[in-house]
Amino acid sequence: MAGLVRKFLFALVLEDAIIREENAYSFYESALHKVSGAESQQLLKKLCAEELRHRLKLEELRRRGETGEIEFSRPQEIELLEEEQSWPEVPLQASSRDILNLALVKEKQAVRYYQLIGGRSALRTVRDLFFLLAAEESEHVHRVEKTLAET
Amino acid sequence: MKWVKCFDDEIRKYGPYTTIEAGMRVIEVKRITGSVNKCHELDRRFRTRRRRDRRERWRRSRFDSQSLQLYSIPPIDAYLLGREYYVIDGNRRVAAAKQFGLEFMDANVTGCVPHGNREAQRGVVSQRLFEQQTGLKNIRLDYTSGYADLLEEVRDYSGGDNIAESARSWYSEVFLPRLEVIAESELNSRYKQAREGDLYLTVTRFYKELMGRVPQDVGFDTVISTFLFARRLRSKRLLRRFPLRQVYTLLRGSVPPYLQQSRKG
Repeated sequence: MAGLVRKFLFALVLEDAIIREENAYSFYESALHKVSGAESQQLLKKLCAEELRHRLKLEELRRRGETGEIEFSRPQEIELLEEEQSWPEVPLQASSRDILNLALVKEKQAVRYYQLIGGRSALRTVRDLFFLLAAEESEHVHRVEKTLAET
Repeated sequence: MKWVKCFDDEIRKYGPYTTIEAGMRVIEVKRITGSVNKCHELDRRFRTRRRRDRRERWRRSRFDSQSLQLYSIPPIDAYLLGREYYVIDGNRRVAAAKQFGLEFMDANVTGCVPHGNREAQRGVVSQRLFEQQTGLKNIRLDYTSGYADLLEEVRDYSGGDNIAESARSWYSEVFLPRLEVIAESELNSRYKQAREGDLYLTVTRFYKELMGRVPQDVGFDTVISTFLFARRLRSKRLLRRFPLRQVYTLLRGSVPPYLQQSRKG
């Protein structure tokens, strides 16, 4: 019974991760039309592509029926991360810098999220995928920080 | 009485035109809608209306009986104008094909391209180029500009090898399996009127524009699902009815003892 519950929770966590990537993509896509400067636009387009690539990987994992289990040993952490799921709307009057600052906060949250669920995943392929996603989100953090420093 | 379309009446709407030999190909019978010489004598199913013409009726019945004996229907000659075919020679064969419910038949096709339609001209040229270089003649697109994209894809796939040989392998190993996935997908049910080849190009163009290429490390069904999301054609997803937090709250009070233990811990 506990195994079934954990598998169901895994499916929910996977769907939750897909929602996060969708929100991230939608954020960058709408921000793309609002930022000025070729460098910022290029960065946002790359981030758009990468968030969509993450969604592809998670969706593939969901479709291929790779069954995994997640240990919820510290449920309060899941609750905490659940609160952070939604990405904000891109404010109408936001500057490029405002948008990148928002992105930075959300990307850092994504790193923590994937590290956490990666660490709790029992199946190796699933764990590897989540750690890979965490590493890629971490790369996004560096890129956004670099662009912020240069602008 | 509804007659077949007249080629002369249709082509007059476009003005001057050029003809381009497209050669022998398999065409969809439902797209044969007109005739060049006998449009006032044939109904929509290409049956003659001159009931008194005994000779005609005799020839038709002879042809029908031959067809019933599973003789193959010889190719017709037809003009292609827009998306429709107009029979130059072979009206009776078309009537038989329609009567027997054939989906496809062979035809020697001549494309008609109006001078004023630059897009159509470019499309015909890129289709011709695609067919000449790849030897693949039966890929059907409504938006013929897509042949240029397909040719580029085949070139990438060939990686510098013989393009005609690689094209056959690309067709059977990449293109056809992906069309099958499209046929089963939600994308196809949302755009029932669109050809699967055109849908394929819509999806691949989106990924090439955003990522430089179509993702290779995931299944094409996943590629389509993500395309639908990105194009705001969102699907119903059962698990989204169970937000993680609510489900967890429900479970926390009752089922998993290890969770309760960890809470106490």
